Amino acid sequence: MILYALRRLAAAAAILLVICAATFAIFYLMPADPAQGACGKACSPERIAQIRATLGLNHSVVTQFRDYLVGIVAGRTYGTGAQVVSCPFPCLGFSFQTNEPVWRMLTDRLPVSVSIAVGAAVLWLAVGVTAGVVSALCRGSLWDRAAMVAALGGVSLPIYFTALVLQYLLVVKAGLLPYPQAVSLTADPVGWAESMVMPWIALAMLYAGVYARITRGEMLESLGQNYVRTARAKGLPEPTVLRRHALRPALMPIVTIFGMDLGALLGGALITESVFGLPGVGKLAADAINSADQPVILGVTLFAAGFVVLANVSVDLVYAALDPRVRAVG
Amino acid sequence: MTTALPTSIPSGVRRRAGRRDASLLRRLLGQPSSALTLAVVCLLVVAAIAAPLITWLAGTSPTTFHSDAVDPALGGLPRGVAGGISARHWLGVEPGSGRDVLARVVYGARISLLISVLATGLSVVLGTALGLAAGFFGGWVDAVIGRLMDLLMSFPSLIFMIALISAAPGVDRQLLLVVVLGFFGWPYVGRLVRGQAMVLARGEFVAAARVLGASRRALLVREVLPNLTGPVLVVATMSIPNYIATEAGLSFLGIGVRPPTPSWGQMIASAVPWYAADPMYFLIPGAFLFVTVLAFNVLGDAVRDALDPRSRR
Repeated sequence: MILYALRRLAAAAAILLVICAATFAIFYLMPADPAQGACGKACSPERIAQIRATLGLNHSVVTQFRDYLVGIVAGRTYGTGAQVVSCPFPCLGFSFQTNEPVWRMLTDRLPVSVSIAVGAAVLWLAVGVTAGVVSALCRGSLWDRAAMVAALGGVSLPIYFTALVLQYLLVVKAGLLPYPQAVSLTADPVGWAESMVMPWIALAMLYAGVYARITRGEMLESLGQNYVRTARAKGLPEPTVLRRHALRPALMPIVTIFGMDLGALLGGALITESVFGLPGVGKLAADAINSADQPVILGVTLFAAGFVVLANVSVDLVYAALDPRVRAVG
Repeated sequence: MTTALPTSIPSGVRRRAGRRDASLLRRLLGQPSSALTLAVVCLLVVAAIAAPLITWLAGTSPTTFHSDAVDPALGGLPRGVAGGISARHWLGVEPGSGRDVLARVVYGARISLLISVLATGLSVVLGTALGLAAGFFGGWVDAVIGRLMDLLMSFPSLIFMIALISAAPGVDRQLLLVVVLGFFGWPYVGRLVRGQAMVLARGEFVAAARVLGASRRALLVREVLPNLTGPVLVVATMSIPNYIATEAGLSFLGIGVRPPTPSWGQMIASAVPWYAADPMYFLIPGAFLFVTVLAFNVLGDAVRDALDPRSRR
């Protein structure tokens, strides 16, 4: 098991390294000038030359990439002499537009993204899996049809559209909620929940549909299996059959996609955060794109990739813990 | 080693595939829900193709400013009710500029459908070719392609697409969108094709053709490939709505097609500052986007159910 975990972690590290190299290559080999991006749209030629020197853009790409990797594991400094800028471990780059290390910008905004992701995940798991199970049990009924139409509708709704409709109805028309703001959970729990409830609903509408469809399909699949018939035949009460023999295997694929979806959302719900104006990691990425702040875009990409890869590894480890066969093969 | 011998087997496969296509359409039309979605999809495609005709009939264009249709005293809100819906502007006008919403919606449909269909085409071609190679040849070919697919699927593709597009300022956006969407989409096709090809390659009819002296190329193209049309058709239909939604999302974030070319995501983004005062301006493109994605999703389900009897529940 430990060997398996180590192997998975090594593979994850390799994937992150490739992602890092690919992202780096995009920014440093493409026509866009990183120095121009670092300084913003209105920038004097002298300042650009100065930034080029500070960023080490005169070195070869390989050297720059090596410096970047060293910065991630050990921290680094930009520039020399009086204009030295320090970027402590783990240095994911330095934004010259905001004069902040990218890592600090990311960690400052992480709580908002985590609030959105975790709350939405609880909501969509509860709604989606319940709806899927009930649909599978009452297959062909009016409830089943209605739930599946609703699920398909939810899957097809663009998130920014849902978000705008929610905000129009709940904030502008009904006045039930305030405009979402970054409120700390510990300082003002009610205000936090009021700000988060619309992003939660908007995201949950999208994901609950996906989960309901998958749960229903998997449940129907496992209900048709021989071991369920055996469990019934040996006289187990129906709730036990459903819970222990039908639902458990049906939840395995749910675990997989849940890990990946949550991982992707923790790295920033780009569109949701942008529409509601919530300063999470996703909003940071959107803002960085608009102001062409390349170190930030690079940093967010790696940060988000880290979450996705970490989620993949966690899912694999959970799987291996549940099912010894995986360890042997993988 | 001549390829002339095993003609009877491929022609049989081709005949079977042809019959299946005809019966697929019949099955789709036989179900009221899928017949309706098929009609919606056809309507959208026709509207997109006929966009110049529609705007000519309505007497507008997607880029003409109508300053008389908006009220400068109200900060540029459309005159009249419901976002300026009138005999001249059937779906109202854009606040501020007064551009015709109908014209922008039908031209936006062109962009949406064109990009999603081309991206689907690219991902299907790449995914089928590489998945087929991986599944059929196995060994190191499979190992390399398999790793590549794993890697691409664990990329945070939305953020990566954004990074890629924003780092290429001079490149044609529509082309770039197609390439980027197709590039990140092919592993999903490839994974499916690889699995199917592995099963098919061990099939008796492949062994029979091999014994009859068919070359490897003939085995691939005439034995295995025709049997993949069903699954590939399903995954292609299901990926179109994903690409439409992703393209709209990227345009919403300001990195899709460049103005003044209209796109639905971009229209919704430009409606954000106005949504409280002029809700029609985001409801109309939003509704078009929703109906389109929904229709393609239902169609994807229907195609899958029609081709795979096991999934019809």
